[in-house]
Amino acid sequence: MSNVSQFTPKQDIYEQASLWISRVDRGLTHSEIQQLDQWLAASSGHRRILFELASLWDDMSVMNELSGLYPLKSAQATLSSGKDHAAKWKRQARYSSAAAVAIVVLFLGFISDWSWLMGTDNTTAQVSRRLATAIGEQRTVKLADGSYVQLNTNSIINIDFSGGVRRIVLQKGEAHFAVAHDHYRPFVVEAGANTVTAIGTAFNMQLTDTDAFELVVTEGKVLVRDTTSAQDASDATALINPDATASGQLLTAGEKANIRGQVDQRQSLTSDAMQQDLAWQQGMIVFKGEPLEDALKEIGRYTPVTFKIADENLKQKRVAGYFKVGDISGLLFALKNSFNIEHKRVSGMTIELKEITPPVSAG
Amino acid sequence: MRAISTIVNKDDIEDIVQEAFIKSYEAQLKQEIRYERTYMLRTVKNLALNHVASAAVQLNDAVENMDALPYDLVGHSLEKNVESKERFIHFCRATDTLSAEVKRVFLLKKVYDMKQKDIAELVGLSESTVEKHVAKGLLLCSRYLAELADDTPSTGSSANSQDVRSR
Repeated sequence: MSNVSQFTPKQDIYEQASLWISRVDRGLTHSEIQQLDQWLAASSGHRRILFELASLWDDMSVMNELSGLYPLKSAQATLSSGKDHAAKWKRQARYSSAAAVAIVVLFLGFISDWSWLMGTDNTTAQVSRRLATAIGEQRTVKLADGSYVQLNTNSIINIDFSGGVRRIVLQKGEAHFAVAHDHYRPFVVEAGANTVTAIGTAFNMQLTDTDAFELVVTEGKVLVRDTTSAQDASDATALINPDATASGQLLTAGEKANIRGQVDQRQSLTSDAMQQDLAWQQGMIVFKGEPLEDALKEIGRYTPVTFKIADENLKQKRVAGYFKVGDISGLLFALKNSFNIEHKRVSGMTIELKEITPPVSAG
Repeated sequence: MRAISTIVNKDDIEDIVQEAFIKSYEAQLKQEIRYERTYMLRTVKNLALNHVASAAVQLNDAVENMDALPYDLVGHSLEKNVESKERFIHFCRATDTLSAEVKRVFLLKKVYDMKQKDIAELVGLSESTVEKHVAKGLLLCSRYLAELADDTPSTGSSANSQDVRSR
């Protein structure tokens, strides 16, 4: 963190910040992400003004209301509405006549798959794909509909946006979804025997077993169902119109639940608890007094290293702190420094932990 | 709710924020307008957080620091998806001060929610020009709104209370 920074007039910062917003809107390249990083690091004023303009940008999306009042002439209007699958297709065929479009709409499903095969368009290429992360890896991906998926370590999802429903299967691990609004195409994540449906909201899902997962809703509301029950399409209606659904299955922002067929252990999280739960999104794990054994199990998700503790008392020792994921040597150092726990590498990937002054032993 | 819809040609896009137009639909607008919000703030916050997580974070802070994690880890506040009518009209007026070409690009972005790439194609500008126009539109609108806020001392106008932002 360098303290050297050039003096920049405030208006220039606003100018730069608005350019960054525009670039973020267009989609940043990898090197631009680093440039933005440096720009943000240069002064806290940069960050403040960037946030201020971003917030204005979001507020101004209210102007979208005008599009209903003044629909845009030409096929572009449908393109921008993003309301259904037709929009995507029309991007490539915007010059064809309305009549042709009307006929072709009947074959949309077929055509979209076709254009995907031809790979002419990046966004359509994302219509159907598989995303995975290795142990210790985390990545954020923007999907074709503008939603963001953040995959945690050792996770797999399958994406299928080809139909009238934005469908994702969480096969393994944990993911956070920030869903772009689209009332007409519900966003459905399947995990185990359940689905979670949203239209524009944010939530986190972590598989805890092959048929169970933990759900945290960070924003808006989602609908939980088991896969044997009704249609996804009607779920969107249920979200908009809450009395149309069984109330037990509608979860709102700040709620957490374990789901295995049924919604279980439903609870409201304090914002602290939620931050702790979702700290992984910032590459961190937070512990607030969990038994060491549990903490190490959590840490183990991010590394091929396994930990061994022989001593039962030590397993139950409560630990607190926040750790950067994947930084095992930092963790070991912290355990030794703050908790008097020593480590020994017993084999290639196994580390044994011991307390420096062992408790009185029976021997 | 919407009595009249007028289809606009792409060459007339700028007109929709004109004073006369604003007046014509002002009556139809409800006091509070519900809308679908973009996620720019959250996106840039995440980008800023990545920076913090990678560069400056200590490995194990003492327990007492735990509640002060570097920044808000999660989108904490419930995002308001309701905007006051008054502010909406201010946005229109702000946009109306832009030069014709910038206005057109900015409206295609914010009203019609088009991708920059598609805007470039539609209006026949390069993508980098569209990017600059979008930035300029935002910058000038923010200036206009800031001046507006300076001119009207806060008299506790209730309709405008939504202006208050977190942090």
